Amino acid sequence: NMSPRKLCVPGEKLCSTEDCIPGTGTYLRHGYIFAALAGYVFRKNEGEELPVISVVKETEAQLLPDVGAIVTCKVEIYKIPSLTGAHISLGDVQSNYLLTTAENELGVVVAHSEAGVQMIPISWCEMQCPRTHGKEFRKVARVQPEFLQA
Amino acid sequence: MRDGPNTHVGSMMDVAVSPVLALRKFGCEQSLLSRPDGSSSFVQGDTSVLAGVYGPAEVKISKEIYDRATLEVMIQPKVGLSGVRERAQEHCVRQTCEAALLSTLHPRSSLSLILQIIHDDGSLLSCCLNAACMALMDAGLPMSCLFCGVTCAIEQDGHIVTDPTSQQEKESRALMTFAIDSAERRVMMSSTRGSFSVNELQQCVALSQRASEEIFQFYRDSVRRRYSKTL
Repeated sequence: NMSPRKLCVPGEKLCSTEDCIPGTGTYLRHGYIFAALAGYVFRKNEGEELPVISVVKETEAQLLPDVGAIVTCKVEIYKIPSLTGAHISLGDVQSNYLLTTAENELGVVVAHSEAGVQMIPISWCEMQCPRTHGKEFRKVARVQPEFLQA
Repeated sequence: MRDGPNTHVGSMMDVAVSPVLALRKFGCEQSLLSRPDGSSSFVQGDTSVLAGVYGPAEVKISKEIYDRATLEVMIQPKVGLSGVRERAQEHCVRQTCEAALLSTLHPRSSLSLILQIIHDDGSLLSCCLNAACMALMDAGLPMSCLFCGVTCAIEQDGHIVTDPTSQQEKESRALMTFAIDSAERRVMMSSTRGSFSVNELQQCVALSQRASEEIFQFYRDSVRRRYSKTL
């Protein structure tokens, strides 16, 4: 049962740690939970003894991808760019992201052949160039129909 | 203070100040730029500043801080290139923002705050601080509290003016800008110029703390107005 409560601004005292568990958009100080964002205050009971209190902006725009986020990115493979759907598995020291396509839904969405033509998937692991008819091994993504654009 | 009866300001500071608080009209608009992650325009009288926040984003390895975000502040003057004055103001704004931001939540990331001066008719640094706070809030960056800027000018006769115009600044013998936090009304940053006594400094601090109440209320009203449109 998630009920919108009120508007808050950063630094506003929301409640005591005895009443709630701090969630996203909040921080703890001196036994109290404070708002860290401007937005709506939500209390959500997740079967715990205490409800989770969080602050949510009106538009939840994720600024940085974190571990587990599903992303669409351009990957350079042998100097041929391909559009890939992947999971973020780790962010390393140089601020690069390691990707994994180890799920049926994830893999190559759009790929171009050496002839510069967009390839057509012919199986879950192969794509074919319509001009040269050359086949290349790719782990093809199983894109959900609702995400396909005409 | 020469005019008006003196009053005590609670537990904030045990000094006498004039009850008269004159602040120019405020104006604010958030999310008016599409490119930055957060933006705001703040107007105090005829002084106007446009702020844009970019980030968290990738940071240059040379500027990387392993346990928190790196904050860069740039102030662009209305005309010409930024000089020593802008560098000093950038330093003041950066110190204040770093104190308010929960930057440890975005380690090895870059935050950029760009402040474009649209028009300067006095109290510019305080207007920059107010624009910065609203832009950071708009960007959805986690903050421990809000902050605001209040400028006080001490005239030749010792009279204190809050939110002075350019003309009042020129005629003053001392000018002070304070950044006040919304949690405990503490001074986060101060920038002073000219000659003044300890008592005058304390009066200006107390006056700024009282003025901050009005500014924070304006912030809250601004957020309420913005969110009421989405309901």
